[in-house]
Amino acid sequence: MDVLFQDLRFALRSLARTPGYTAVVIAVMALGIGINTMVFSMVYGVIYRPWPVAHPDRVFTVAQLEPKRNEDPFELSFMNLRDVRAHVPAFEQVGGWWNVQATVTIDREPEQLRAATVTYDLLPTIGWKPILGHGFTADDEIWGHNWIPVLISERIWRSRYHADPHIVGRPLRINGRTRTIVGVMPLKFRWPEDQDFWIPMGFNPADETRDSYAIRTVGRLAPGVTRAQAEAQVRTLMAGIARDNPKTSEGVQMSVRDINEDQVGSVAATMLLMLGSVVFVLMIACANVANLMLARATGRRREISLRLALGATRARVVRLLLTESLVVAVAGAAIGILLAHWGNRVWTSTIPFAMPMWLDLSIDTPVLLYTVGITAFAGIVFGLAPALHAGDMRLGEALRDGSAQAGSSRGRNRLRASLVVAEIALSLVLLVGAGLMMRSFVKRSELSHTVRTEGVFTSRVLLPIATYPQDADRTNFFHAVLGQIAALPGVRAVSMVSTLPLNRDNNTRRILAASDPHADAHNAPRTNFASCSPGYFSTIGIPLVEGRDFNANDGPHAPRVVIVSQATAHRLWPSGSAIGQRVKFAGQPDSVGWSTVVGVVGNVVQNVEEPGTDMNTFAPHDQEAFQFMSIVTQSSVPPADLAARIRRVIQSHDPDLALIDPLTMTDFLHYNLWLHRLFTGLFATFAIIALLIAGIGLYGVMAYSVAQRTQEIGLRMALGADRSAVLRLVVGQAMRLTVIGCGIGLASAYALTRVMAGILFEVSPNDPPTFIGVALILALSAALAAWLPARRATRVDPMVALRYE
Amino acid sequence: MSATLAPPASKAASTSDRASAESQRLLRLADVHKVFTTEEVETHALSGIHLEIKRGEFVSIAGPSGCGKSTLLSILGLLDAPTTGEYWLNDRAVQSLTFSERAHIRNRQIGFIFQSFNLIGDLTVADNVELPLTYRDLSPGERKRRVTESLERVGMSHRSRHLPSQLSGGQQQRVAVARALAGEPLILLADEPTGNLDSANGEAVMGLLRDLHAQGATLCMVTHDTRFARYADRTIQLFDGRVVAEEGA
Repeated sequence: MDVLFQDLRFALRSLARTPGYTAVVIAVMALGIGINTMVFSMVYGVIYRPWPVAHPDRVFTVAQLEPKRNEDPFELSFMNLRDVRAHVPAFEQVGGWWNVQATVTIDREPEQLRAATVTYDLLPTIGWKPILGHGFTADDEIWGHNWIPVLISERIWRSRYHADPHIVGRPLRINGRTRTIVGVMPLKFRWPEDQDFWIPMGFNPADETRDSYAIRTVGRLAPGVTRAQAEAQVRTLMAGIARDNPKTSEGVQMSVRDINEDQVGSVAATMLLMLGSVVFVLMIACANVANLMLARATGRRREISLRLALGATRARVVRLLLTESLVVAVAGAAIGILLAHWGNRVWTSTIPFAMPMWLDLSIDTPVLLYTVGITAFAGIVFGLAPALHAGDMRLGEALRDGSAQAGSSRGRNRLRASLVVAEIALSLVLLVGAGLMMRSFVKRSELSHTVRTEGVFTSRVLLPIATYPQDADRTNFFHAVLGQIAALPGVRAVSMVSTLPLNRDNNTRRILAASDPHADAHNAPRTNFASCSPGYFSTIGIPLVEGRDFNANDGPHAPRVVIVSQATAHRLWPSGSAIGQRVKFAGQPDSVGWSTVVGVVGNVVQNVEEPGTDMNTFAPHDQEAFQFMSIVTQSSVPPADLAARIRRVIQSHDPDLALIDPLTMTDFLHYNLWLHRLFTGLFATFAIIALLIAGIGLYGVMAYSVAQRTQEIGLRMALGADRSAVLRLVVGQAMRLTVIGCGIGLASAYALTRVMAGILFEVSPNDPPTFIGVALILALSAALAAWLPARRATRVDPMVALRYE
Repeated sequence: MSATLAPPASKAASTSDRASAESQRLLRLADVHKVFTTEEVETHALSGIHLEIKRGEFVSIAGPSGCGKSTLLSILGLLDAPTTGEYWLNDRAVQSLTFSERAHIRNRQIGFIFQSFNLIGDLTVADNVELPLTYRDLSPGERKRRVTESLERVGMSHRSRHLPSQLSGGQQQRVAVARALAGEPLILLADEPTGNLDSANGEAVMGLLRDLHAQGATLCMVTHDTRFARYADRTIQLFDGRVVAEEGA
């Protein structure tokens, strides 16, 4: 232990003697370890951190899937959930939920907050209890009973009810119904994301079907039961359901899944890619610091050889140098943790909504363990080569003040050059990844050009079923409201749609064409579906390419009509006109019948997360009276004024309604692309850091090389080399390393970027312009990094270099 | 084969004598001073040096440490410029040339032999000899021919693929001489060429220089070893930056 302290003391003293060098290596390590800690805390928080439930190791989701269709797992129907509850003994408790919007009136005008409809047994399944009052009971699941109670969040209880201890029993008007508050959930409970209200789930037995998939389901395993046992039981159960209900459930399976995996979905791939990227950055940082340490070890040859001459064993010298590198790594890690904390605050500030309950980015024990691991790894990796080289020193040579160092310095120079080549190659891979992400983001952003944004303002209105139960109630409301908004001064056009283009929501249906007698409801193509009013396409700037727009004659009792996008028309009727063709949607009651295509509009991406699908189908709102509609206004009125005026119009009809998400179309698109912007920004940041570190590395190597070769450069000058020859010598050396690094990097990037195929939009993972552009940027940066030492080399005085008097 | 120290040719010399002397003269220094200024202290390294060296002459510059021998040699080699005074090399005033012009002349007209050999450790013997030729527009074939010839002249052609670290000190200095010869310079400037060698190797290197001189090479050598100074046709003694004596004139 005494020896260890002695090494530590030597290491600290030695580092303190060269504060500039120490500061640089600590800064490089802090960057490398800091962004690794930050990204790991993101990845761990999003993908791996156990959900905030009791017994997280025993809580799993239950989902349905249709392997034949190869689609994402989907939710359970209420009937299936009840069967799981009753017939899967592996689960001691099962609960479910779906998210709903809540228009709530508490102490001011109506506002839009988030709520969840939950089964009465969800809370005990996940192990949460109210801090006041009680949860739901089985009776609350009875149709009609479920309209009465509501649980509220502690946030609402404190902020709106001033933590009233007598809150239980007070009424609350939510989605057109007056409910009774039965309890207050703890501050940290916002299940499943950032909900403030929970209302019990109930189903009208007359409306229940096996294929009304809506409920996200979790089950808690009974003690001692394995996931595999639960999996076997739900599969058996679903097989029976499918056998007994072939019309609705044929081919459908049921599976037990990891709760994190189910929640995170496709983001996981991007996040893991990001973790891989920052590991690259750490490797670049390690190579860089190893290079600096090698240079330093060369400068300390005499000191180290003296230690060896005085009896230190090679192992002792290696340990001393490793201690130094570990000290640097630990100092870097300490600063890196602070950087990670700050970085997390910066990126989370870009999230345009409240953090979901399950997302915890704390830098706590698991994250710190990762940091300790990479710190030890880094300290050993970048310290090992210099330490071994020092330990391998030839004493006689090192102690002799002569010039016979060529042989031993060659090996070190080769190692240093190899490290720079590795840095350049790794940086190039990162830059290519970031370049691809940026190109993909630009392509995705360009989707906004497919719709009109200038002067377009959107806001949403939710008509509660409780107060607008019939289709006619909803169509009448919107007819009246749209008419009044159209009459507002400055408003040029107004219309509405159930799902705005470039949204992040999915509302798809399988579409069947009457012209294809073999069309199968299970295998029919999927189309995005939206309900809209006449004039929507012209308001939002989607061109009508054939046929007509909806009009007042397309009422609820008129023949059913639809408008399809060009992609839909081409897919269903590739060789003829779509106008006059008839379609229907899988799962629709037979009584609805066929709809006739009356128009074809331009292709617009409905869902920015699935930009490849521009098959769209629209129905008139009078025939598909959705309750949740986006009002689209084209006007010259400032957005805030327009929002206030639209709100007044709506509340003049129903004071309980809120105007939801009033945004300009530009802000709406900005909002929907935030995740891509964030990932692109992070990738770009990591790549720039990598480029910077690699640039510093190359600069360091070249500066060291120039210093080491001062005599040689002086000699060359004495023998007739002019400044340009010296410049070429130094820059040429750097460019040789760069070309080798770029070559290795390009080949590696070609192989590695394939994993990005799934997250890129309209950009090939091997996009030639990106590869070429990045290589040029890197080469230019390398030339710049070599330029300063090269300039210094041209100023070498041959006389001084050759040690004249 | 005579050379004159200051002053230059007398008024009595005939025109034809003067023309003949000028045609034989390779370099001439006239009233050269070199002053180093450090921390407000002026050090006069050279004071009023007059020197002429004729083609084919072997001149040694001797004197104690710090007397200005190497400063003088660096000015002769265009590695440094005089503070004042004139320097004519091959009938061209060279005291105030640009960096590039001086590099050009060094490369084509001057060959250097250093005390510590100054071979580049990462280059082979042949590469080291070729080095000055790489700064000229010579074809690879021509460069190779000259390298081979130079190494043969110093008896080192059999070690052309070796690295300097694989050679003895004497062999390294032979390679350095070959490098100086490869460019076919007008003059060889040698700075203590035996300073890092034992006496046997020192003798061998001096024998080599003597042979080169016998073949017509012009040499100027700085040395503090009187044994080796005798190899020269003429020895100039420096002290405190001044010429204090000349032997063999």
